[in-house]
Amino acid sequence: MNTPGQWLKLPLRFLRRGFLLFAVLVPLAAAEDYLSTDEFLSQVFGSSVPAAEKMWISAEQRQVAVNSIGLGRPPIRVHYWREGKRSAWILQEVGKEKPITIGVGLNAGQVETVRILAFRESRGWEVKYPYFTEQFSGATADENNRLDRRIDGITGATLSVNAVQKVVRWAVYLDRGLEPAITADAH
Amino acid sequence: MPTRIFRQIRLFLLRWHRRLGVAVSLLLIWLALSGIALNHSFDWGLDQTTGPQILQSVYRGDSIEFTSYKAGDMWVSHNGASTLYVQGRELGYCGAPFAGAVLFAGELIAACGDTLLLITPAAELIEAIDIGYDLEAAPTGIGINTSGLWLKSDDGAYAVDLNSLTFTLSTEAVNAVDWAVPGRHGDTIHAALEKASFGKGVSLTQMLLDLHSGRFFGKLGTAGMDMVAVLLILLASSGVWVWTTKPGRFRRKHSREKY
Repeated sequence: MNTPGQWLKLPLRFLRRGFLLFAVLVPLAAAEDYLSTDEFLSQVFGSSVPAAEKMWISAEQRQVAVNSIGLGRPPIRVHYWREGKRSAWILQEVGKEKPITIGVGLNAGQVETVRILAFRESRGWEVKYPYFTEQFSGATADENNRLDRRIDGITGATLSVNAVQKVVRWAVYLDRGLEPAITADAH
Repeated sequence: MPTRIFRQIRLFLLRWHRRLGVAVSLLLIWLALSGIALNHSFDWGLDQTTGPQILQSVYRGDSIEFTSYKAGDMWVSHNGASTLYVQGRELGYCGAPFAGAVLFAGELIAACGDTLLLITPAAELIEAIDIGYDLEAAPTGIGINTSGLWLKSDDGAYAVDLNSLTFTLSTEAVNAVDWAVPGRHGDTIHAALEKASFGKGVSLTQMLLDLHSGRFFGKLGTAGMDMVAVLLILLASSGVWVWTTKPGRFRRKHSREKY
């Protein structure tokens, strides 16, 4: 004969396991983190952040952005920060429907830092994690604006991954446009 | 509790478990199929596919409430969700809440959610500037005075420098700021907005979502789906009870007796 205690055993076991799974999964799903412009610039330049400068994007540059890099709708002006050969760019690109704000720090034409400052899409937020962004460290682009390395994608975040890659290529391209000015400064 | 009572409860639940199962089976299959489709709507591109025309008429009755501000000679409108329109033409993503738009230094400046959009008078996006971390809270207003551009937030007024991208919270009362106020756009703009916002129609994802939740059929549909949810809870509970109370369920094999 079964006692009531025995009947309760199985449901309680299910509940216990369910609670453990819930306790593990909830903090993972709720993980959200943004970086402010100041924090990003501090990561690129340290304590002395240079003043922001503006660059008007020419029709030719916009053509490159759309045709070569694949940006959806490049702006006609961008803000950037630079000191010596180091520059920082804060750019946006739409992942699926909403823009992702991405910070790219470069030194002598090579990517040093990639950070996701704001992510508005409902999916693909995994691009915020260092295991993805650190793949860009040391990367540069060829004359066709292709990165010199393969970036591993993330399952289920293809559009966000593409958006980040495009922005990095765009930043490298824009930074290359600054080079004469930097050389002139250096002399 | 005596075994006889347990057995009676079990038989009662078993009978109603079967009846409930048959009653909700078709709806359950529909919920499961629509749930799978919604779960993969992003990958299957359902959110980019317009729903069947025959069902679109249900949505046309819901008129979108646009909020419009006159900046210079241009009407800058927002659909309350995430799209900005200039003179009735769609400009692109602009989050909520929409705090307004002004004409400043020859550019249209719109403040929405965590972003400032700088737009040419020809309705072309100049630049999108993130302000999410520069203000303590989302802007509630945008205005101009003789000293420049201002943003209003819950914690005060911020002087905006668009060259250095600095946002300075004013410690003193700010006077003579001409804060943007919403206005009534004319019929021409309204018609253009209606056309621009409903141009492609409602997506298949939205329709599936509304059918899945019952919202497609209004309040009655939602109440119906609530009832189905309660029935499913009863179904699951009675199923667990009937399964766990089966005589001999937890007995060791060697001591199991024939029931």
